[in-house]
Amino acid sequence: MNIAILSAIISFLSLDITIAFQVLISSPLFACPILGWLLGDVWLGFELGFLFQLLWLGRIPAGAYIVPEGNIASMVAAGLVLLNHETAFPHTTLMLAFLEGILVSYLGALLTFFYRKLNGRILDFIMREVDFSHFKRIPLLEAASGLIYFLMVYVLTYSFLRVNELFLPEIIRIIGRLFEEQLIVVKPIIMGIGLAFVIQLLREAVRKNLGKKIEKTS
Amino acid sequence: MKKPPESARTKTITNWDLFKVFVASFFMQAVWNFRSLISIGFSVCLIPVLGKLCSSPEAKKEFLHRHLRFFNAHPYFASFALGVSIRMEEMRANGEPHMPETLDRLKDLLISPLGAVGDRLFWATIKPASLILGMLGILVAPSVLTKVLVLIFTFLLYNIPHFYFRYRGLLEGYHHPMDIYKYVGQQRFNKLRKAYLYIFFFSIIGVIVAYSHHIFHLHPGLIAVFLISALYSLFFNRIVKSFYWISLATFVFFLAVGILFF
Repeated sequence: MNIAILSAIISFLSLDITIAFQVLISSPLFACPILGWLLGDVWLGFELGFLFQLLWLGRIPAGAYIVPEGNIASMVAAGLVLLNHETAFPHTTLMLAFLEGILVSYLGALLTFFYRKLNGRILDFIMREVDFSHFKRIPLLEAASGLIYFLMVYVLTYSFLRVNELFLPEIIRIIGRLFEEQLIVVKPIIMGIGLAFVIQLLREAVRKNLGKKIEKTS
Repeated sequence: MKKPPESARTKTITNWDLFKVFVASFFMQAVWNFRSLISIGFSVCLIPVLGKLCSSPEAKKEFLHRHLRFFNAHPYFASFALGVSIRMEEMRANGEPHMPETLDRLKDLLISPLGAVGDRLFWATIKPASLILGMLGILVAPSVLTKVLVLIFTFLLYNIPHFYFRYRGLLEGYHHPMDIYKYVGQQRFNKLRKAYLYIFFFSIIGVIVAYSHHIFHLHPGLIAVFLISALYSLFFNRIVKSFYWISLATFVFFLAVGILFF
């Protein structure tokens, strides 16, 4: 599949994170199998969704807190693995995709920050339209903001996939020839890190519940 | 013929109007910004009832200026505030005095409980519980078809309460605007939260057991890598809070271990 189309699909799925619906479709568990199906290896898509899901679950976007953009990162990482799934070095590919995913999650968080700042300008525009009684333009401005987010994610995703299309296969070959067998540890490490984050989330959730019980009994 | 003054007419919001607001509420966080947070999405949700509640452009302007002021809540639980706002705007349109001031105060008071309850119930409990149960299902499902069925089940497990509270919140806010605090207390959601906490807990155990069993066939040493990297990350998290540092430091350390010992 053309990476321009793949980037558009990833950007479209990313709208589910905050812009529209928020029904979990952008979560790795759902998004990676969709990408796998589109790129011809749904089985690998399921496996990647399973691997990447735990990592980002522990970060809660409460209030104005900006969390690492794990959903975009997982989709980009899954895209990288799926585009290179015919190489003889699957563990090396996964390792590089994961490291790039961490970078994308950081850049995605920055993108969210700038997007929210930009929305401050949209608020000014909306206020002006209200003052001029142009009420029908308000939903249009809301849609424009969604389109801006789509384009921002598109640029981020496309740049990553394009750069990787040029260099990643060669890097995979070089590292893979040296360490492919040893890199069997990559999947358990990713799962282990994710497990730690989720255990912490569970511990906090249970503690708060226990706190309630103590309140009741006292 | 001269139109009667706005306050003299009775405005009635129908269930269909509320349904249109419900649909618009799926875009609640669309224009999240640092100055007014979700107020733009909140105001856009009210546009389907704007024509019914205000007939003059001046009234519409005042209405939108009121709702474009700072507001924040969990995106699903904001529908309680939407219901309250619609009902109180309806009362204002029917001539109730002091409604704008009361509505402003009530909305300010709702920010904290709607955020706290929603974050705790959905982000910290229902979402991880549903997704981790889904992960367990994906891991043990033998075929693509069964994995797809697991995904459908996971989608419903999360979205049934999601859709329910979005719509129910709107109705409850609309029908009980003055005693809405009774409907948004933590206690009301405790049973549901507890049920999903159990799912969360047992799914995590299930994932650990099933995944360990899965990697044991590849190389028994991988179980040690899986569990020790989790403990290492937990320990690291006590020192550093940054997600990036924890992930990268653990990953690089255990890669080195893998290269040395596998």
